[in-house]
Amino acid sequence: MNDNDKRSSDSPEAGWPEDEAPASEAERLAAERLRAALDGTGAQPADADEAELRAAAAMLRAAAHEEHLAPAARDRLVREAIAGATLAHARPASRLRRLAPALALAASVLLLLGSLLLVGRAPLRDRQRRPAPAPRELATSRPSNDLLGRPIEDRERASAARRLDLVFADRLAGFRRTRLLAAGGTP
Amino acid sequence: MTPGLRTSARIVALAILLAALAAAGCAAEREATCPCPEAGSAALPEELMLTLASARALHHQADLLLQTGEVERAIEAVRAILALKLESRWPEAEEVRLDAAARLGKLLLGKGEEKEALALVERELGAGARESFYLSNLQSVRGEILEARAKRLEAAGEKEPARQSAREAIQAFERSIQINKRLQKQLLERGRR
Repeated sequence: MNDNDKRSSDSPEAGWPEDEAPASEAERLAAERLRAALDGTGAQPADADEAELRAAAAMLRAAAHEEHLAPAARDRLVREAIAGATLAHARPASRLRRLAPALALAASVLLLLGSLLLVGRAPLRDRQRRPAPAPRELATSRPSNDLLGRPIEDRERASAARRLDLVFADRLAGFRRTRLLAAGGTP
Repeated sequence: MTPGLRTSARIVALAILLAALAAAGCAAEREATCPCPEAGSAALPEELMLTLASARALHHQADLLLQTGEVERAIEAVRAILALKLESRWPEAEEVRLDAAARLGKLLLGKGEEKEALALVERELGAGARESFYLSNLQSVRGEILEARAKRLEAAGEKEPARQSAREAIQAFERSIQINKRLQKQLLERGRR
């Protein structure tokens, strides 16, 4: 490749069809503005046409790749959104809306009372869940007449083993319960 | 004293009264449900439980020996119960002693050892045991022994001693009946409360 060929390939006219007239200065400037708009560079738009071109180019640019808002633009958008929302909700308050604080307070009080009741009942529930402590009577030595419930009949005279089984089982239950509870355990 | 101050003083007094009542109630509840062995004057001691367990095992042993016809060994087993430390300070121990004495009395009577049976039973009855169905049973056993003696004396032609034994037997049965009546009345009254 000679110097003439090299200059020819780098110049704007490179690959330009031979039957086309070369671009005019105005066309060159318009092309330059479009490039600057697509790149997002260049000075402020000179007129409305250029501003419109810049806007269209910005949309194309946003569609082509991720676009970040400038901090100032972001803050402006947020301010506008908040202002809009505030205006949209700035209608006269309904009765329900006026009562809302009182209702919230009442609900809070009810919730607090409910919590206090639950907390207060918790030890009682625990006590109910635990086996009831042995009444004093169960923990003591005592006559077993109530356990037998009736006189020993003639035919039951020889059943001393069975009677003692009954009494022993009863007293063992009391004994075990007493000892385990005293040791902090559960029977 | 201004009316406001008087009202405040009344409220404070009422609060103190309520607090005192609550404290008393808690103490009563603790007292009634205290699981500690020292709460009762006659708590169930380990010693008593061991004695009751031994007596129970010996009674079962006697049952099995009687089933196999080994009466002598059964009698020894019941005698072993009476040799245990069955002190009257524990009602259960006293009851076991009375029940074992009744059983042994019946076994001895069955063997024809009427005199020893009566001596044993009367010894236990004379120990001043508290009223119980066991004491009533022992009175009844004494009645049976005396009844057997009366029959034997009657058969031997000893009319007066036989009548005397019969009278004593009737008295023993009567005592047994009276004890049972009193105990059942007590149980009924306790059941109503």
